[in-house]
Amino acid sequence: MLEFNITGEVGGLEIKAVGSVEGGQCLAVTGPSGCGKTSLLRMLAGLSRPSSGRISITGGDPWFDSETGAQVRTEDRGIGFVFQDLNLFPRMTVLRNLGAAPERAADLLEAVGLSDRAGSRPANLSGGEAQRAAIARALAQMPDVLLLDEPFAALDDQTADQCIELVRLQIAANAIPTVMVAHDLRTAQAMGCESALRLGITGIATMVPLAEAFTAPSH
Amino acid sequence: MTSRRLTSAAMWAALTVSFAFVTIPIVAILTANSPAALLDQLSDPAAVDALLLSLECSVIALVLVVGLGTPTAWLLATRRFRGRSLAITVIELPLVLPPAVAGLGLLAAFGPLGWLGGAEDAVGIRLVLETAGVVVALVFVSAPFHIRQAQAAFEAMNPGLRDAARTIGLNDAAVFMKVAVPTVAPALAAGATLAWARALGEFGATLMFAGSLRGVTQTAPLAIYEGFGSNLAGAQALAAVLVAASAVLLVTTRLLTRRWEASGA
Repeated sequence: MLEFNITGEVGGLEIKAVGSVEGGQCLAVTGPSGCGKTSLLRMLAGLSRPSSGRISITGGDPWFDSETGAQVRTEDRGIGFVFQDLNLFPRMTVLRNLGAAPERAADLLEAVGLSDRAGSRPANLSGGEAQRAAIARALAQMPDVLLLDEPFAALDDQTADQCIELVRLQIAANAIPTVMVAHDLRTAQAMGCESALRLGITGIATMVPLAEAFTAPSH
Repeated sequence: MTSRRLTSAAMWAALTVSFAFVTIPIVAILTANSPAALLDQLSDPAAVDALLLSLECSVIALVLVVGLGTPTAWLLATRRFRGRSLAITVIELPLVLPPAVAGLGLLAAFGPLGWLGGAEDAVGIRLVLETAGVVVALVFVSAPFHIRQAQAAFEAMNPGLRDAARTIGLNDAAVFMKVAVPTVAPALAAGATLAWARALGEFGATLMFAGSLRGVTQTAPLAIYEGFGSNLAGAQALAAVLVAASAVLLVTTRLLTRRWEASGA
């Protein structure tokens, strides 16, 4: 289980978020644009530092604890991260982008339908292909926690459904707690999210039932 | 004639003068000797020695500059630490330092009576009047060309790539080696090429620090200077080789830079 209760400041905006997600479950993060959804994922990943609070994962040292000063580096957290702008390595092939053992990388590329693009550079992929490569890279790390920033946004409905199915299976099979920024209810439902964290411009974001997160008015 | 046309004509005139100003001396060097005379002069053992020594020293210097300069540039580009601005200024200083001053500085630091002279003596290293001294002088004057270019390339690299690299478990050193260096490789190669060109042409610091001993420290530019007094045709032949080498390196730099810009990394 991933648990967090953090406050962070990004670009003059204060984010306060409290939440938890069990292994195999997916927590949706919603809210108006510019409210810090991506910043929350970055803090969970250790790419930026919360100003206070605690992030912990069952069965390990806390990733962050402002009281003890504990801070586990991003590279030691064992996360998979799908970035909104993907951040594929431009001068590596798709296969090498995955940064995993060749057989596992090849299996994942097959699962996302990119086997025939394994030797391509990211610049030669379509938007949907690049997004699938980014999803495969996040899964290739055998992550303890999966962080997804609008991971299916560039995909057509049919491909999105295939990728959602793949990610869901991986999350369930490996009991991976997952946090996903989503801006539509359909994707969050398809990912099996039962609750959501709705970030507002002010106030503490806490978990609410999924349907409520997409209907409640903004703060 | 309208003033706009006048301005335009003046600009084209400026371009023509600039182009001619640089082109005429270069063409004059290349045409000073017939091709047969050029080859004849270049087969002179002193010329061969000088060219080989230039090649050897500049390649060794290049390896050192790239090996030490690239991680230096990475740290300067990605870390904020006390004294960073000062470090950048000092590292870039040789770009604008008169070569004779660089030579004096190297003597004061690494010469037999310099700061580190005693330590060098103790471990049996000699630099002054030795080939190793030429390499030291070349590294000193050429390193900033590579470091500047590498630092700019690392700074221009999408920071998201560093983040992504860390999420796949790469530590700082691995991010540098596996992601940053391959991503900006054409820009690094362009910087290295410029540094190499600077090293090939180095004269003043080498003369002051390492001297001009044939086969030991007399690189091609030093041999040109010596030949100027005794064998002008030989000096011109060596000069023609350096012009050709510089042109090739410059074109290479431009092609690499274009490739880097096109890669959009």
